[in-house]
Amino acid sequence: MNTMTDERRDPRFEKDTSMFLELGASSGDKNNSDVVISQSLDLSNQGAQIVLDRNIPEGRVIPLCLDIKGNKPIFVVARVVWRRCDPESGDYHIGFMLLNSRGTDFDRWQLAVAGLFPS
Amino acid sequence: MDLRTLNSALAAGFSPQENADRSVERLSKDILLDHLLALQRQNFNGFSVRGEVVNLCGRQVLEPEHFALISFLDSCCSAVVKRSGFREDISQQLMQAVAFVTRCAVVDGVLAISDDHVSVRLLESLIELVVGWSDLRGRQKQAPREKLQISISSLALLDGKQNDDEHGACARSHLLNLLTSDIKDLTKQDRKRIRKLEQRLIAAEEGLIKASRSRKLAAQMINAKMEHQVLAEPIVRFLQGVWFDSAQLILTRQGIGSEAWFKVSKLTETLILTVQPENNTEPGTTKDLGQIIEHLPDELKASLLSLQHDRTAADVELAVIESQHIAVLKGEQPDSFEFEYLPVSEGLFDKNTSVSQTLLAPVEKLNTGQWFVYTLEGHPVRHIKLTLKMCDLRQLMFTNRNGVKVLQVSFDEFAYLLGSEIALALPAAGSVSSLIRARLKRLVKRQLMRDKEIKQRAKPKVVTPGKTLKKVNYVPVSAEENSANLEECWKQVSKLELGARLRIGDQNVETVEARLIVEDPAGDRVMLADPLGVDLGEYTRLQLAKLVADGKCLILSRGGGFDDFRARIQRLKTSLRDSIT
Repeated sequence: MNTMTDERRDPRFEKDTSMFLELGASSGDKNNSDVVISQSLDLSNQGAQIVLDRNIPEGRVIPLCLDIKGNKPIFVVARVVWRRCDPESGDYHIGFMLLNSRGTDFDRWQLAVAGLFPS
Repeated sequence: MDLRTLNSALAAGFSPQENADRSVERLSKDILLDHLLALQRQNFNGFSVRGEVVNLCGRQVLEPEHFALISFLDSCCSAVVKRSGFREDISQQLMQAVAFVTRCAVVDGVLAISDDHVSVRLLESLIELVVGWSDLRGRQKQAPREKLQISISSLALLDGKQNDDEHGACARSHLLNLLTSDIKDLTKQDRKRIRKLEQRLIAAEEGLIKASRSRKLAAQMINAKMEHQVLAEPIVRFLQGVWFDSAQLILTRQGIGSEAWFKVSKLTETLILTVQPENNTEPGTTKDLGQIIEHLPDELKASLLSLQHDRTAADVELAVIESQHIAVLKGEQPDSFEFEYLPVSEGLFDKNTSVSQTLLAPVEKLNTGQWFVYTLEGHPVRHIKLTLKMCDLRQLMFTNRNGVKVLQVSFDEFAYLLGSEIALALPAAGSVSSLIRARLKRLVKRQLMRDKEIKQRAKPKVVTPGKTLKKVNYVPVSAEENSANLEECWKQVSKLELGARLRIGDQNVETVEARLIVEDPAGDRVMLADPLGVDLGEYTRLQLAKLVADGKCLILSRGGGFDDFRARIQRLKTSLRDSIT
């Protein structure tokens, strides 16, 4: 599977932008999973750091949606590669690494993030 | 803080000017000040003082510290004007005021500018003067426009010769303070005019919002209690009629945390329980039920607030309940009535969508009186003011410059609007100064860290990617497999898309629900995860097909690229467009 091995190689762009995360279970035949709206702290072309009010264990694979103003929402799948708790606020800073998958907007994510960096 | 660190911090924060090698002639400070003065008297193209100055420079280049300083102020002041969404002519005049701030910064230095400088306060007061201006009419519209025009012209009269000595500098400061006061007086008058309108609006809206919220909560409670229950028509009519009305009144008057609301909720449950036919089949139930039924009418009557002034009507309603109880005690089967639930409006978010506390924190800190730019795609830019904040009901109401309501949303909804920059805070008094101070601090901090890193030459950390968790035990299919069955399974598996739901495992052992979470674009491998995102391993489609053929995998749905997730977000965005007045 074509996945990144070290997301820290890529430059990061500090960007507060809305993120939708699909967490939680479906039951029966109906998909009524939980969606949480939070915010990114920084983006790179292979991942993002998101701040959240709850913990997501490392290794979890989650559908995400990046919502940059003026752009169509960008849907991707990403794996939690690190996390830490801010002792002051109690918030969790979570590092996600994108997984390149058919049926997602992996390429659009990279274009959108590249567009954020000043030329 | 030494000047060298400060200049290095500014220079490092911004790209250097193009073609700025030492051989090119540098622009002197005096000529730079003349250019900035000229900018105060001419129309701006865009939102960059730096860009305009560079155009005026021609072949000359700015001194690096001047270039960095102007870039820094562009990133603070010009950016604020740009994102405030003013009409073009107003933006141009505000940019002329930014050119003045920049001129002061070149003369007084960046530290002085970051320390609540009078020119920055003036800029803030001008922004406050014209915020929401496009919603005004007639004389109310003219006055701020004229004041802005006169103020900008006045700034252009301060040609810098006042800085030649200490008295001149003080005189300049004094004049700017007078100008700022004059602008604030007009703004204050306008606010006073609107205040009475807003107070009347708040009184009316508070009541409506409370009533709407009470209606929603009461409906949700009664619907929840009625769900999957067998109920006769008279009971349904009672619950969705006078009982629903009474529940709303209790919520509005006493609140969701009140004893009275708790009692209404319990009584609803009890009433429904007492009219269920299955109670009679349990031993000893008739005696228990009898005791409950004996006291129930009085308790119901005490909570029937909607009929508190019409005891006769209340007695008629309770008589209906009584007749149902008699029927139950006799063992009669009630005629089950097919009912519709009470309608409940969800708002922008459905019940499974929530906002992280990290996004909500800024909303909790909002103060009434704060202005925002509201820029929803396809709509004109609006300036809206937070006029009502109801912490108990988690509702916010916004008005325009005329005191007319333009938006009402919940805390969660506004948290999303702020997070996605559809709503952006406009500068309040002191906020541009705070922004300049905070950004300067950050630049200096980064410079100090860079200086430290150069000394230490720290290595970057390498993060190990998350491990793949347990794989499902795959048992190879024997040679006697049914190849026709496998082909059929292969056809099914080859059609699976992202989001496909499966159940993995033998029916004789524990099964786990899985989702197709990744499809390798390069080949036919897929990754599965459980609903919580726990990695269940990677498979080829052939391996999956074999699992299906062996009965070790059941396909629950074909998937559709997380259609449901996409659809929910699309619905949210559509609802958002429809929500603004």
